Parts: sequence; structure tokens; C-alpha cells
Amino acid sequence: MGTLWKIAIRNTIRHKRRTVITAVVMMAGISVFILFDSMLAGMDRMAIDNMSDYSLSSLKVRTPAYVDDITGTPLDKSLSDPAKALSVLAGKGMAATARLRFVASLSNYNDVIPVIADGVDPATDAAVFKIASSIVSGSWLQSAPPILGAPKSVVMGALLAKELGLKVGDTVLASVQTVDDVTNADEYAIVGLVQTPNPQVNESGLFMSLADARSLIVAPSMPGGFATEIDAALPRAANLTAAIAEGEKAAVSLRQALPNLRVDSIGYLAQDYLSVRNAKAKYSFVLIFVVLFIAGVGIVNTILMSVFSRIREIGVLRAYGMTRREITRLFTFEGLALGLFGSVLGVALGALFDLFMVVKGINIEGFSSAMGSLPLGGTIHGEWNPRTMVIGFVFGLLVSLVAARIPARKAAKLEPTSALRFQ
Amino acid sequence: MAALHLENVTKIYRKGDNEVRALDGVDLDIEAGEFLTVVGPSGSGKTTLLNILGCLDTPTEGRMIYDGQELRSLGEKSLSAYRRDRISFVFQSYNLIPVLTVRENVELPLLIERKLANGEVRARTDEMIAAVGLAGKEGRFPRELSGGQEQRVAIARALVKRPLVVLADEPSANLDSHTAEEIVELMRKINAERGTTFVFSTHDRLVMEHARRIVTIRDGRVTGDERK
Repeated sequence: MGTLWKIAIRNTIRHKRRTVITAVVMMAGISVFILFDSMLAGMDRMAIDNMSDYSLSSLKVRTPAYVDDITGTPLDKSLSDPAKALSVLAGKGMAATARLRFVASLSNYNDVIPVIADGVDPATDAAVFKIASSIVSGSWLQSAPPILGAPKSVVMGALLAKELGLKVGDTVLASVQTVDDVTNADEYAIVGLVQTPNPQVNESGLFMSLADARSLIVAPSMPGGFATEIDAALPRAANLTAAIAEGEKAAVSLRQALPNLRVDSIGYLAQDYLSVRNAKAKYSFVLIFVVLFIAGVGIVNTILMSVFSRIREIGVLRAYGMTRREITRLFTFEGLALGLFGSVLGVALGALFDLFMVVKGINIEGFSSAMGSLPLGGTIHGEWNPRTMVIGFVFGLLVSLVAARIPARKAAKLEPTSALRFQ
Repeated sequence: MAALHLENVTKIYRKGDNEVRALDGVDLDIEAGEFLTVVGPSGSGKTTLLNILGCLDTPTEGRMIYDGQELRSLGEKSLSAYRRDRISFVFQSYNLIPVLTVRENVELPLLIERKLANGEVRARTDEMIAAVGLAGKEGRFPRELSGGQEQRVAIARALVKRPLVVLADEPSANLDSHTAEEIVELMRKINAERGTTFVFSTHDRLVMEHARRIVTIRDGRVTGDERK
């Protein structure tokens, strides 16, 4: 066995050019696989973080009826006692805030644009969402009660403001259907514009205080307040899988404490993104498979060349009693040696790509239009994934093993007399 | 009993409807320790005879009895095992493994055989390298040797496992006359000292002169068997 390895390894070293070409193809396949995985994990991380931080939160508490009719944002199915739910979450040590979400029509007195408006608690919203820290012009909503007679204030997405030709200090008119399905409207001064990595917020986000929102939709006066949802933050998870698992674990514990309410974790809330992400991940695996298939063809070709250039050598080995199986092994080892070389280089280069992605990342701001409605923006950082490196390495070896078997069996089928006569 | 006994051995190659009788009823006994050459014109069946003697090919008809064992009925795997244990080859173009050193080439048959411990493999290899006059060149690769030195390595490789018979197909054909004489002398010496059986095919008069028995073959038949 040692002699077979010795011959195999020395032959791969001896034929430097073809070894290097084959190894480079393998290296490209494996390193791109690792890079893609790192990028996908980084995109997942960014998307989940952005969704949690700017729109969805990590956990949502709503009434089951509200969720069942979610497309209609049914205000009459709101939480009747959000204060109680908030106290349960606080008891579990979770940062949480109440929001009142409704659909409004926003007008600059010339044009009207439908928006998703959120009544937020300016004092606690920043503990769950990062909207307050994404102000690019003006300021966030004041948590102090408004001065009597002063105009009510809103913060809106920067792109929405641009679309309506508005800036901080301008006044807008928001009109809604109230809880009792009556049209109501009010004027608001724009106090701040936000620019977040979540395009939905930038294009159609409108924020006002919970008190102003309740007043606009003419919410019934209830001792526990009035909100459509309670949003909670969870500690940052290591990756997408962990975020989904930990979110669901927290949701399960909350469901027991809030039996009449519906608690959804990020795995459910982000299901649209996750289905798109899974489709993208499949495409990337197809790409990697194609690259490694090409590498496999390269290995078949390299070993075939090796077989044809060493036919007499095969004859000698057979003459000295080497069996067909040992000849098969010899050339299989040669393929494995090539695969080992290519896989080690591929993992090493992939680790370098990964290092770059983790430390520096790639700024995708210029590709924001290509990202569509995905909550991605800014710099994507990669994620270390040793498992992917192991998969890439093992897959590279398996491809080379399978690829080498074809020419190896061809070599073993050679008759020693024909091989020795070969010129 | 002869070490190698061929009885009415016939080898027929078929190509489409054509039939070529490469060997036609060959009877041959080779005793242990013989130094025998097979001579004859090109296409007379010398190489086929050597291939059959070397268990690289099987006869269409006839019996092969080596060291008391009938071989004709053996399958490919058993013939491989027989070659591994009893037969060695020296080739016209040396056929050393280019990526292995002199030592590694010589020890190769022992490693294929897998019968000896590492220490014994090394000792046997060193002994054979010294016997062919290449001591000190153990770490060289074939490309760093002259043709004569390569053939010496090939002879050491053939002898290291102490085979029943060494089959040499035109061993001096690629060598100049001086080197060829050295090589034939070396094999003659080994034959005399160790009693190893050598069977050559050759056109070389020098080899014929050193041979103690010359078997002439023509059209697949043994037409002469001269002992000196």
C-alpha cells in the first residue's frame, strides 16, 4: 500500500503542469463553494438582523384573529390589554415594546401615497428596533407628552419623503379608516427622516407616537392601552439556524404564559425571505456541483493521460505480479492524491476568502436595486463555517475518487502482454 | 523433473476469420540453473514463448508444469500470484519505474510480494544492488543513470526476490557492445554463483556465445536444441 501511494504521489509531482491545472480547477470549485456559503450565511445574518431590527422584531405577540386577517390590518382585532402582555415579557427579562400598525394614505396636498404606519412608544421602541438610530435628517419622536397646540409629529422613510417631495419641517396629511370604519385625517409635521437597510421602511414607513396613532384611528379607551402587536428583542444568535431555533424556544415559553394570544418567532415572521433564501441556496449548490463536475472531468482526463503515458509501466507491474485490483488502486490513489492536493488548496483559498469576508466584507450598497425587496444593504460580512470547509474538502476527495475510478479500471483491464508491447 | 516443462504447447491468435499459430506444439524442458537462449527470426514465436514461460499469456493447447505444478488451468489471479512468487523479467528497454529511485525499483518486487519484513527487504535490496555493481547509487533516479546502469538495476530488480526463472527479452538490444558484454557477463556470473535460471530471447551473437543451451524456434516450432 505504501509503495502504491509513493508511486501515485511521485507521479502527481512529476507531471506538474497537469497536476496544477487539475488542482486549480478543484481549488476554484471548493473555494467558491466556501465563499458562497460564507456570503449566504452573511446575507442571512444581515437579512435576519435587518428584519429584526427594522420591521419584524424577533418575536411578535398578536391576537390569533389579527394574524388570521393580517392582510387587512384589522384594527378591531387588536390587543385589548397590551400592558399585561408587556409585563409578562418584562417578567421573562425580554426587551419589548407595543406598536399600533395601520394603513394610511399620506398626502403632500398634491399626491397621495398609501403607507404602512406604526404608532410607536418613543421611550421603549429603541430597545427592540433600530429605527431611532437610523435618522438621516431631523430627529426621532419625542417621548415627552406633546406641548398643547403644537403640531403632531411623524418620522418617515427617506425615500417616501423624496417621492412626495417632502423634507423635515414640512407638513403632511394622513388619512385612515378608524376602528369604527370611519374616515379620519390629521396633519403632522415631519420631524425626522430615516434611512435603514430595510427598503420597505425607507419606501413606505411612517412613524408617529402611540398616542397620536390611537387618536388618529380613534382607538377605544382601554385601561391596558391599545396596540396591534407587542414586539420583543432576543439576544443575537450565532447564525440563521440558531436564530430560528432560539426564537422558537422563546416563543414556546411565551405561548404558555400568554395562552390566548398568538406568539410568532422570526422563523415564521420571515418565512417569505427564508423561502427566497432557500431557493437561492439551492442555485448556489447547483453552481458548485457544476464546477466540481468540471473538476471531476479534469481528473478523469488527467488520470487517463497518466494511464496512457504509463502503459508499459503498468505492464511491468503486472509482470511482477501486481493484480488488477492493485493497478486500480494505484491509479485511484493518484486521483486521490490529486483530489487531496486540490481540496487542501481549495479549502485554504476558501478560508482566505472567508477571512476577507469576515474582516472586510463586501459593500452591496451599489447593488441595492438588484436586491429588490430583500432587507439587505450596507456591507455584507461573511460567517466562519468550518462545517462547509469539511464538506468542501470531503466532497473534493469524493469527486476525485469517483473520477479516478474510470481510468483506473481501464488501466487494470490492460493485458500485460499488450502493455509491454506498447510503444 | 524439469523446473519448467512445456508439453505440446500451442498458441493460436485469432483475428476475425484469420488464425495465426504463434506456437505450434512446443515441447521444452528447462532445468534449474540453466542459461538458455531462444533464438529465431522475427515473428518466429520467441516473444510468445517467453510470455507463456512468464505466465503472462496462456497456451491455447498443451500443458505447462512449473516446479511440479500444472499452470494452464489457472485463472488470471492465480497466474499473477505465480508470477509474483516465482518469475522475474528483464526487458529490452529496462522498463524501470521512472519515479522510483534505484533502491525503490529494486525492492519493488519484494514489496509486491509482501513476504519479508522491512529489515530483510532492505538487506536483500542492498545485497542485489551491490551484486550488480551499483552500490552508492541507491538514491538515484533512472533518468540519472546510463543505459547500462539502468539494465543493471533491472537485473537487480529481477533477481532480488530469488525467482525460479528470469526471463529476458532481448536484454542487450539497446546497449552498446561493451556494455552488452558487461551485462551478459554479470548475468552469467549470477547464474554461476546463485544457480538462477535464465532464459533469453536474443539476436545478439554475444549472448548466444555465453549461452550453455540454444533453443532455435521457427514458425512457432522448436527446430533446434543445442547444448554446449
